[in-house]
Amino acid sequence: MITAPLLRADRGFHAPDFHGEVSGVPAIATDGLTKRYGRETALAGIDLTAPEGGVYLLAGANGAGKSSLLRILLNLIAPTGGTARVLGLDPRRDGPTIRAEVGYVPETHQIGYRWMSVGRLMDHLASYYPRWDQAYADQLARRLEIRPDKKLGTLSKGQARRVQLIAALARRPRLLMLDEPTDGLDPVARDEVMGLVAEHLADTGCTVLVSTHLIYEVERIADHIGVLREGRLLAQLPREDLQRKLRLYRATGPEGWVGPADLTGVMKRASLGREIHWTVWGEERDVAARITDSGGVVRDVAPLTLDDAVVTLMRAPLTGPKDTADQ
Amino acid sequence: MTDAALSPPIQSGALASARPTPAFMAVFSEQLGLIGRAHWREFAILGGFFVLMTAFALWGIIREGMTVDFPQEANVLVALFAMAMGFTLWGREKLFAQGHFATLPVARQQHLLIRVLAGWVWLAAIVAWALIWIAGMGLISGGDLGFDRYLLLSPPTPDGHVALEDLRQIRWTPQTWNWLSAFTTAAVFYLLASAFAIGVRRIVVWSVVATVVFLAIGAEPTGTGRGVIQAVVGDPWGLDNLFTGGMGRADAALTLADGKQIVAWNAVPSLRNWATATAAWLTLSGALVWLAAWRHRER
Amino acid sequence: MHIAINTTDARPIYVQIMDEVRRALVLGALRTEDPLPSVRQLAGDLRLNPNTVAQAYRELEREGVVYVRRGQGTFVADRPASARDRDLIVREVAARALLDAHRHGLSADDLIAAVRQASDASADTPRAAE
Repeated sequence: MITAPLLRADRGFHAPDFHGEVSGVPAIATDGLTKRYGRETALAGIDLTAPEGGVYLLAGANGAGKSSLLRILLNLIAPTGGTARVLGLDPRRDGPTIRAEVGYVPETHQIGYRWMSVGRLMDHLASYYPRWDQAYADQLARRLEIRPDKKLGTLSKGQARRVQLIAALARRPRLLMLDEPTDGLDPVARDEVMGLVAEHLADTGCTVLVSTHLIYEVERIADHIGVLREGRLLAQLPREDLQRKLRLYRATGPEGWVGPADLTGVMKRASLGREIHWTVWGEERDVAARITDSGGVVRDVAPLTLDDAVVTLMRAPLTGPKDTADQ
Repeated sequence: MTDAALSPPIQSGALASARPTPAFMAVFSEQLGLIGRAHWREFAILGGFFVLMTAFALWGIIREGMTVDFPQEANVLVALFAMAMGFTLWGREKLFAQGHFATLPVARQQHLLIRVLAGWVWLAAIVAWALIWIAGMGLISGGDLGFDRYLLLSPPTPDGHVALEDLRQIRWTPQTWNWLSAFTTAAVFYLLASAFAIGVRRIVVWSVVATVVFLAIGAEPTGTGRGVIQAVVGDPWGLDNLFTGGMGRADAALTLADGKQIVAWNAVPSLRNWATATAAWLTLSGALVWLAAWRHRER
Repeated sequence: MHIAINTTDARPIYVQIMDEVRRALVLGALRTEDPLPSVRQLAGDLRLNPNTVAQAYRELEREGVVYVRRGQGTFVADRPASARDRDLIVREVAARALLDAHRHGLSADDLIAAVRQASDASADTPRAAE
């Protein structure tokens, strides 16, 4: 404990709050959602807000709790604690209605029964979803090159994924929940699928919650970002906020210059000869001013790609009063 | 079950006016179709079996002048078949792993019960077909499906001897409830198997445990064992009453004064026995299915 | 009209779309009364969030660059001169070049001198004279 203040000063990292204002009517809102499997904690108090009509990217490493969260929202599993609202409904009371209104692509590649043909699966789904749009399903199947007479048991992983996407879209959902939607797809199919989702959004204005670790794929579509790590929602903010506040600064300075001592929110620091690179969480004007005040010349300020930004957040030390005191 | 039970009312204008969840009949008829399509191989085998049986029966009737008795005790076979069907229906559903079935937009407990109902419709149709077949064979053989039995009018001596005047020959013909018993037996065993297949997470483990326990009791019919077997098989709610109204226990092996061995009934199978046992078993199996489905309820 | 989006660009995507439309106007690729691709088409083709495309179109409409004909789509507005667009683009190109120069430790004067030199050099080659 005696060394703690010294170490803390060395780290120079004061937990920034990676949460931004998420405005608009929420399509999904959770409050302190927790899920434990025995002694294992999958979700530790999630307060997630996804606005209606938006595309919410839920990023996180495998096992961060993404799938558990989605399954709770559909009431496929019950939470240990906390509450959730999906399209204004409580999953624990109105699970069936929510499952009817949500186009869900699960993590697994299972759908229907092995003996079923794709066409029979469509009939099956049509009887379960009163708003099933068969003409749209046929059109999607043609674009994704899925033959209706193909047996589900003989589908490859990629084909099964495409069938799941057709099933999710053709029920004309108000909310799409996609759990690793491009898993198992080849690059061409991935591109095609993202195009389909974009068109679907334009046609229906539905909300999307997409969980993936292939962030570059949804980079052009996502407008809200949530970063899940070890069962916690480490960050949640509109994409513009993330790209405005998390930036890479490159600066040069006189011989022996080490940069400002009072720079807060530094996520990463690297140097190339006399040029120092910082990835900093903060307002550009403040950060640039501090660098300049310490005698450096800011050569470049650039936002990170969404991929880099999310990776940076995922690598950020888990902070909180307790964590820092323990260090 | 009503439509209202199937899908909860839509909340506070948060949703579009048209109901997004399916109506009861849509789900029921889809499940009916699914079960038929998923088990066409089993049904084909069953059909082949009937063809074979018809050939044998016709051969017997025409060549050997055989008459057809009402196979009341074949209800044991009906029970085994119904049980197999209960397990087959749920064998591949992965209910505890939230598979495809769980993701469908129907309250899970109701959904399971709807599928049980759809499966029962198929089972009842098969039983009906079997009964029609038996009636047809009876008609062809020219009989009334009945058979002759000796009825014991007073109890035999302790060493099992009986006087000839205490025996009366009667002719037994199947009553309406004897025909019905095939349906109720099938329903009870189908429901029991369904409850097991739906409500138990590790079916294989628990099947082995159940078999071992059953064998242990059967091998050592001591005080408790005898009690358990008596309760399951005997009066008043036992399986014998459920299957036949008490026909199995009515058979008594007797020795006549001249040393001849005969089998006679010491009682006539009764509607009351059957009705009592059937009510008890249907209630029990129905409750078990409901409980099993309740394990998967929305919560 | 081809619209190119670069996710590593510092500009938000909707600004990139606006800039691309202006560029097309300056180049003459887009003229008065030409239709812009629909939001659905552009979003689908570029795998963009339709809200982003709609935002860009809204901003362009607000600036009077395009107008919306109900039920028919978005069209290039009839405006007196595209001088302002040209002006905007020139300034933007200059700003980008300056930023790049600064990144490499060059001053504005260094840059201007180098641009002159490069321009003179390319004027000598037959290709640029065409």
